[in-house]
Amino acid sequence: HAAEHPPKFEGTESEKTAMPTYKLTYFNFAGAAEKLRIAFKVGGVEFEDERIEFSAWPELKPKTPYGQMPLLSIDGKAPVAQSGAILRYIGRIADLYPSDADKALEVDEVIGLDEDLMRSMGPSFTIARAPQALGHAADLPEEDRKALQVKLRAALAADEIPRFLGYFEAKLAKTGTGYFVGTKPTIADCVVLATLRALKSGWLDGIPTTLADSKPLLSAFYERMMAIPALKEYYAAK
Amino acid sequence: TMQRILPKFKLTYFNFPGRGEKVRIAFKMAGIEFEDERIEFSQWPEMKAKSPFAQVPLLTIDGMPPVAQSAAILRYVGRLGNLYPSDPEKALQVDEIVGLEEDFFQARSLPFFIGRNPRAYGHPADIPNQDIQAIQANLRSTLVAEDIPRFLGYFEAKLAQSERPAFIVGDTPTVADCALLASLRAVKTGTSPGVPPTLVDAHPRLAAYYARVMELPVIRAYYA
Repeated sequence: HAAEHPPKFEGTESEKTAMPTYKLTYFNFAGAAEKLRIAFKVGGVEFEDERIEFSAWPELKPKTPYGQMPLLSIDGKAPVAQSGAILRYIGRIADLYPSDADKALEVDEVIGLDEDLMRSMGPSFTIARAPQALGHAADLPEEDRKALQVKLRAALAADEIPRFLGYFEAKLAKTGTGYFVGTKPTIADCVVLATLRALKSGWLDGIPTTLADSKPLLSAFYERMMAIPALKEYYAAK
Repeated sequence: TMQRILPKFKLTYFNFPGRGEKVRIAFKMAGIEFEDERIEFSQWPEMKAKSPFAQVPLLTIDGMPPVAQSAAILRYVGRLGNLYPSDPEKALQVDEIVGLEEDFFQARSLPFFIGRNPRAYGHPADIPNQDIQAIQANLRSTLVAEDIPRFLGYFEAKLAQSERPAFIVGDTPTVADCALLASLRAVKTGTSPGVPPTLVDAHPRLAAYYARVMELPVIRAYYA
């Protein structure tokens, strides 16, 4: 049955002679760049994975177009920002983003849902770092910040995260191919993989790393993606 | 031009601009007919329970199960309506602006979202109304002093990359213009309480751009 044994995806051969050089710049952790690194790897496109230390950021920040990373520089040209833009660019050059409008709509819907999920986690970081940005006292004591963070994370673990994981599980059930859109990886798969890795990593204090384990299709998806040779190699080297 | 047979489109969103407006603008710019279904907040709880992801906007194509996510729908309309380049580097420029506009929307909508769901931002669910309003007023004054001018400055700088900018990216309208117009209108028409409409005027290229886009016949007719 094709749905139980989807064809193994081995990766894409890139046309090395025609390709520009790519440099991706971000901090030295997964964050907003990991889906891009994954997309480059899955798409078989070489890139320089530039990682900036936090200490170097204050000096670099004013030199960036919008004070943010990740950044993509193509052939040494002025860098472009916005992870969603960079993601779609990689998708277009690496054949991970369908040009058909209906297929692309499916891909974009999954990417957008993932963005909503990641955004919902935002306040639980901001509350600790800059509580005034959410309408709390700027001098809110450390233990109060922590207590609020714990509360927010508990709510995420009980509500938002399972809800969105359920949406992704249902999407895989609907597609039946083992991938989110069509019969091979797209940037939608790269995005969800990055999110699953983040959830499993324990990076979110107070969010159990096992939340996705109860979803059989997502679990199989995770194993399938991690078995792609380029990703297996990338994560083995970490 | 060849008349393309398109499906029937229905866009469902609340009866205010919000995240739906850039899509409405895109349909208009593309010259694609659509049903602009606007729902009242009172209808939302029942609709929400039946919606695929508990959110709007939703696009229904030929009565099929609806698709969510405003940016996905925007790009879809863009593809059908020649508002979204297929060249990867051109599309990258367009997508950068679309992403920036989303950040801008998020930043200036934060006080509103805190008011709608205080608990999600660490406030008690039963926080008194006047406390919420004080928080919102405080956050809005920071937005007016810092964040909004900063974002407007980014778009101004983008326009400044061209000696005579026609649209925000390139010489023809794209979904980036649809997104940007929605945001500029939100500031200009006072959709965000406490945000003076004059903030855009401090950026001459942006103010001229806004006037130019508003004068496009389909846009002028839509907002008449």
